[in-house]
Amino acid sequence: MTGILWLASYPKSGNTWLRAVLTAARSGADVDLDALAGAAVAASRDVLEDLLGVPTTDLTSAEIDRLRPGADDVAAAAARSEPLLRKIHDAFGAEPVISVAAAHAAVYLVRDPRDVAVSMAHHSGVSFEEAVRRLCVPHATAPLHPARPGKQVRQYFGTWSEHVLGWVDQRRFPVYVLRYEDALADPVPAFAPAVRLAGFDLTDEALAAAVRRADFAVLADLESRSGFRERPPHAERFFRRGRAGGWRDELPAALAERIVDRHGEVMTRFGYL
Amino acid sequence: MDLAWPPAWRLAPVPERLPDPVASTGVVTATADRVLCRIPSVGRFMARARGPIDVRPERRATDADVRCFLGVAGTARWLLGGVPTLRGAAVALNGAGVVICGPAAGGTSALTAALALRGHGVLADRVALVTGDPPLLRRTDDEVQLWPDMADALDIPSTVGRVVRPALAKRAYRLGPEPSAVPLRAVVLLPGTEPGPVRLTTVDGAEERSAELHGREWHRRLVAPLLGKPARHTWAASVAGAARVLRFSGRLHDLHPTALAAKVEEAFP
Repeated sequence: MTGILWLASYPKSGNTWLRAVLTAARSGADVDLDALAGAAVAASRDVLEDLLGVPTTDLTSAEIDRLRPGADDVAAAAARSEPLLRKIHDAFGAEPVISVAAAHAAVYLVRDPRDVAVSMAHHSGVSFEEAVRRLCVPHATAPLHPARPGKQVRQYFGTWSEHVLGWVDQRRFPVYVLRYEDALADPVPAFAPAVRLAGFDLTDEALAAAVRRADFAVLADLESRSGFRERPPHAERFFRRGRAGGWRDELPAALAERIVDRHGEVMTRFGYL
Repeated sequence: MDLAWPPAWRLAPVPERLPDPVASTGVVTATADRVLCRIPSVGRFMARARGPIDVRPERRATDADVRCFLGVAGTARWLLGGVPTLRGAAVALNGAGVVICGPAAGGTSALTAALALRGHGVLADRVALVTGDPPLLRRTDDEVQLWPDMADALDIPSTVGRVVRPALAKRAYRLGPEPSAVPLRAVVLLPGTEPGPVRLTTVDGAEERSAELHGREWHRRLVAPLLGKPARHTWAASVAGAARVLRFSGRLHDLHPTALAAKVEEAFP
């Protein structure tokens, strides 16, 4: 049971929380924010350069896209007794930027896009209007207008609906769909299949302990005491609220309606309407 | 071992694969005596320990495209000859050879350019070559590659830069004096983003310094299979024994490269 277990999500959908739970499940110890499972996102330029053996800043984005599956093959070759956990925010499109052959499975985290928009606005330092626009732009990529290469190579997100359906409906490897809201409401049964896919053999009690170690309040406290390298410079905190339905307090009604207009079908399918 | 840089090359047939590789990455495949690099849209490069690099360009690849990736094959060729290299830039700073290593797109070239504009000679921008005992920092690159916004930030007219690849906006610039080889004195590490103010601190301990160097080798995944672990260890121990290793911490991107260059200068009066 080797290969890569993809920890996939649209940005700001709880991926870091999932990684924290898996980290605690694997170690049986307190979470170290600087050593989260699947820590470097698949689009990390540093990681890709190590796996590829070539400076990615010498390559065009299209060339990097063509090489990325090969990087996964190199990474997966090092996986031994349990799958290699890798975080990813790229969409799964017709021409995936991941190696399907190296994929063991995926855990796909889905979250109410209205909460995603609010979280993204705070995280990225943009207006709610801009965050909602990003969720609705067809074929969206990040970064949007790079003046020069950043820490991550170009990622293709698509719209929120495209992203969700791309991962959830693909049939090339198994995917466990984890609703953020279900994980909040009853974490042990929600996380249990993800933990099994990761190759960890845990009792319910041990998993409950891992969930407690990765509780939102615990992670927020760790961040306030020691910082968190994934916090963007303009964001006050990475772990901000960690709740479901917070959009009702913050997101203007017109913007919430715009999300429903654009993503209603997929939102209905996942129980958000 | 031929240490000329850039490496000589010629147009020649290059196989698509190498049989029985001892190590490979997504782009590079190595046997004990040959290294094959495959760059999409550009071509295939075959290096042996001696002789020019064979290149079989893709149909639309330009001369600049090919030259851009000679470094990948050239550093692999040196590995076959027992010579590891560091992924980084280097300057001659008041007679001291200083290597600057950092994460991908982490600002090493910007810092090097800023140091060059303050009168320090550029020894490398991408491939830092350290040989001998005591270690000598040799000159490889005579240009620094900058993206347009960074050239603007450093008041360098982009029109004077050489096109690196037609498909890329970055340009290569000749900056500062042209030094010859100098004794290696320090390796400066630029980290990723970390909280806190910008500081430059010394890395203590020979083992920790060696570990930092191993993390910054060109073709890190090929070094041990091609060089052998003892030789790799000996090289890193020699470099770590001769050079201070200094690490920047803090949010470097808040600081203009010129201000960062001033901090490096302070460490080498």
